[in-house]
Amino acid sequence: MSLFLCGEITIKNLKMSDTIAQIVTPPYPGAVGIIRLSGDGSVPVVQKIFSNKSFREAESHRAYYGYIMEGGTPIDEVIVLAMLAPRSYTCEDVVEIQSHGNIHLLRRILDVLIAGGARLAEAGEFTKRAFLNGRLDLTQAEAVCDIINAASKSAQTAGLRRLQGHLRGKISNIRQEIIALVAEIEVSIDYPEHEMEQGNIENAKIRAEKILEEIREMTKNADIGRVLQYGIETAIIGKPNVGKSSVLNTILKEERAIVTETAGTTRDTLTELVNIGEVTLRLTDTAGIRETSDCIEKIGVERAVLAAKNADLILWVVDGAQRDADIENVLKDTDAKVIILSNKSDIRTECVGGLSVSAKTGAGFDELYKTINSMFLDNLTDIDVVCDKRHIELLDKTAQALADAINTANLGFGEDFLTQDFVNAYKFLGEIIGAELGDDVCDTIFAKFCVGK
Amino acid sequence: MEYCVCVVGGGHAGCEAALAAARLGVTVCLFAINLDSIAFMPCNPNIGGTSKGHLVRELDALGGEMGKNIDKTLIQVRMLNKSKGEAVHSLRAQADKHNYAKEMKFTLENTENLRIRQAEIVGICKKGETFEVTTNFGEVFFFKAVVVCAGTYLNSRCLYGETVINSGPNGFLPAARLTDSLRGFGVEFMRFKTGTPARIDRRTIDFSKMTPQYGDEGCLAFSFENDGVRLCAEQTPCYLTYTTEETARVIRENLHLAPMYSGLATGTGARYCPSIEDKIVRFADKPTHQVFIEPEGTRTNEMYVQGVSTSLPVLVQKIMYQTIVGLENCRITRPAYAIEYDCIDATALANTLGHKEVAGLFFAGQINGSSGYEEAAAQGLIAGINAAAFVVGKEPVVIDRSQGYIGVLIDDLVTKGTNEPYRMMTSRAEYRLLLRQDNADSRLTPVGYRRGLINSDRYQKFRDKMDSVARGVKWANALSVPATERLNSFLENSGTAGIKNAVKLAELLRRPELSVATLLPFLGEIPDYLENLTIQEQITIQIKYEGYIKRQIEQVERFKKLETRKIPKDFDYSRQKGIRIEARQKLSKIKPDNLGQASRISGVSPADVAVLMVLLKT
Repeated sequence: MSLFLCGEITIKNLKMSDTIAQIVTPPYPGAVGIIRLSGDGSVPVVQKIFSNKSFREAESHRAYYGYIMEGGTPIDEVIVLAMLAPRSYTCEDVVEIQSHGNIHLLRRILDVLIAGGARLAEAGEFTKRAFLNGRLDLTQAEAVCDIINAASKSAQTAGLRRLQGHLRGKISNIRQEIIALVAEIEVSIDYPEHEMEQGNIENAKIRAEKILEEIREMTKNADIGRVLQYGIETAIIGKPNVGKSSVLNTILKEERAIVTETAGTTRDTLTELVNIGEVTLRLTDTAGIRETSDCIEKIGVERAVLAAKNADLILWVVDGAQRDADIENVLKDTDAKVIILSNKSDIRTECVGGLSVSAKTGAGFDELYKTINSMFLDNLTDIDVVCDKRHIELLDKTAQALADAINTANLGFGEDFLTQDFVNAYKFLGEIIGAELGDDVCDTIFAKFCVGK
Repeated sequence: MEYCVCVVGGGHAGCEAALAAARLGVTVCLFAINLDSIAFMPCNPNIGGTSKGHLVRELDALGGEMGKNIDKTLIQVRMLNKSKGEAVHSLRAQADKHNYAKEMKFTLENTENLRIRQAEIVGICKKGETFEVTTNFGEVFFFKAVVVCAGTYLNSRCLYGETVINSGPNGFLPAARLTDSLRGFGVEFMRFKTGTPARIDRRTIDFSKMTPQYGDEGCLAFSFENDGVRLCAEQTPCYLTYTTEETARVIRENLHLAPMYSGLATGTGARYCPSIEDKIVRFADKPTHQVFIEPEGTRTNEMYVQGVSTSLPVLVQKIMYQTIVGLENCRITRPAYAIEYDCIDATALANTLGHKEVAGLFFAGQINGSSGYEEAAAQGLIAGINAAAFVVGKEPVVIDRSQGYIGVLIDDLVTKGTNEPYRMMTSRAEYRLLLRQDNADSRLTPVGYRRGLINSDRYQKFRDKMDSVARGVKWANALSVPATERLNSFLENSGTAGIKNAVKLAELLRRPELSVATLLPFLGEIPDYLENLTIQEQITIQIKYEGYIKRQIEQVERFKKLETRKIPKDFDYSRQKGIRIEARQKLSKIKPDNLGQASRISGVSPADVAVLMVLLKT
């Protein structure tokens, strides 16, 4: 039996009253930028730098117009909103300053606030305060995070539904079933001499198989969830000069594409997110694709290999009648969905299979978008999509535990060995809905937040 | 100062507490209201059963007395749940209840440092470091520590229909003044209730209408010291019979006379140990209920009627018992009754069973809200060890939930508290694949040895056994078993597939149908140490369940993670708005030691603990 290792745990004095501030709008130019403050000092700190004197007796949930001042000089024209405790996101006094959406301007205002006594909020700190003040529970906090990070409209819906407890209801029901099953087995163990209605192993097995199927159904959707949450990893491949870059450019023109840097890499690797109807395409390493137009054939195949491994969706651009046998071979075993695009439909009339498009005229692209949407979203109405990585992991663990239990039953081991895995399954599910406490949930959940929330 | 430790009460908790403390070298005085009530079994005449058998084995592994005492006095012994896995095999023995009590009293009488004394304790108070303990005769004794094992005696009253007698169990005197005295320490009390069936004259029972139940052949003993000893050559049978629809009718017609239904009873009873009237009401569609007729001893004709406890008036009892198959002409020797008593809210105690606010004051047994002899004895042992530790200034002994049922029992009582008499059950133990009755020694004998309750002789034997098992496991992993016709026909007869080529013994042992013992004829020469049946069994279990045991150990490691996240003693819960008010109150009251314990408090939700976890990290 391992000895307890009691680490010294010191508790820093939790200054719940200190006031935090952060820019909460994304760092691109926009019409409006928002800075949020939370804590007892929110109102006084803003009072010091706000030209509108009636804010001295700030009323909750009322907009005040004026200027943010720095040493007598106005920085910007703003609207200030106070949401006083406990009627705010964090349950503390919250003030939001709406200025013009220029990042330099916003940073200047933030500096003034810091000079005035606020401190910079850490990633997720607003939500952490909401949690510590009882405004949100862990799963709700988690859902907030998912909504923020959601790449598409469908994912936002998935996050919102979770916020409203859909997933919770479904998982609670499964947990009920499992615990009922365990209870029957336990009765037969603790009262061996009594003729009660005892759950026999065979019966338990059949029920476990049914539950396992339900869980598998959920994890199957989980893959879709991931795609909705983070975007469909999309690769455009094909031989040189088939028009890959013009296909890409046509897609990019479709809606405003958000280009972001991927953390820790050079500027060369770019991820472009494009909203196509209800889903988001995630076009990674497009710099590479741009170059392929004058690449030798070998690189085209290598790209296909890579894409087949990582992508959820492969757009295989072909020119006229000739498909490429090398690439076709590579794509044979991929899990990704493949759409063949017959480009240059404007100068060609014969049908070669796949989808006829013309990057030049834009013909056929509406059809392509429809195809992609239905590929990923059909049969998706009314199911609970699990997006979160932590949840998916827990569902996988649950499925494994149930499979272990079924295996135990098949081997002919006793009831006591069966319940161990059922109890595990019950706990893993509980961790998803916050009915059980994993030892590191808190860390993982708050670590995922971006700054400003 | 005459004695160091005072033990109040001579029931199963009191006996273990007194013996443990005295054996650890501190002087002990045990007070019992009646010395003839020492180790008395006022209810069922048996020891063990599911999970309770585990407790007795653990108690023995730590150096307690109950296992040895039942081994000396059992008249039938069986392993329950044999058709299920090893983790829930449970030993149960019928005791000759009079011999049991006599033997235990004799052991107390002959233990050094231990004095027993007949008196009712009416007052306990603390002056400085000293406890003043007052008897009903006006004497005052002084102690450094007190272990209160008052059982069901505090303000107890027995209910026989509308007849109420202010007495302890079996007509012994109640303890009428101690409750008030203990309130002086801020101890809070609850009112619980339990009951016992009638005893019936053996000569008036028609056994021909019942199914006899015999004990198991072979060597079965509670104490590890009696491994391989055949304890009881001639086993006395029990008998299985049934209630009838007539039984249900009699009860229904007289239900208004039962104290639980007339409102006379105020205590909370246990749901899992219902009276016959409760069963008839709750399971109205069940036409009959099982009844076991058990002997109370070999030198008495009194028989215990398990399953038919009641608090109906004695006149109704007479008719009701006669509706049971085979009891048509039965005569009652002692009527059934329900008993109500004061017990404490055990959440005031630490896992040492010491009171959190009053250093040196310990509580053990039914007074803590538990029920059952074994549950009481297990607490008594731990309280006795820790009272002695307190006196000599040693670290207390705490068994955690992954070490034994004893740990589960005590942690449940002091952390969750209980609102009905608490009975041990295997389902309460999270890690029961590790907490088997067969390996209680490997879990706890080192603890007992280090503390000084296990002598070096026994400890050496234990070490030898562990060595042999370890060698045997290696041997089984290495030994190749050839595929012979004889082996294959044996395998097929055992309901498992034959083998084509030689396989390792360990591989065969992973099949549920096989064990070292059954495969012995096919293994050729075996090492000497393998002739011991217990060692063969250990090798089988360790190999067969390796994967399950590994998974359980992983669970234990997860459990330890939360268990090592300490909460500062002076943590101020009242200011934490993220924790619900009810949980804040519970946490402030119980003052959990760590996050794991906090998570087990009823009324504290995982969401509350999550907030606490984040707070402790900040």
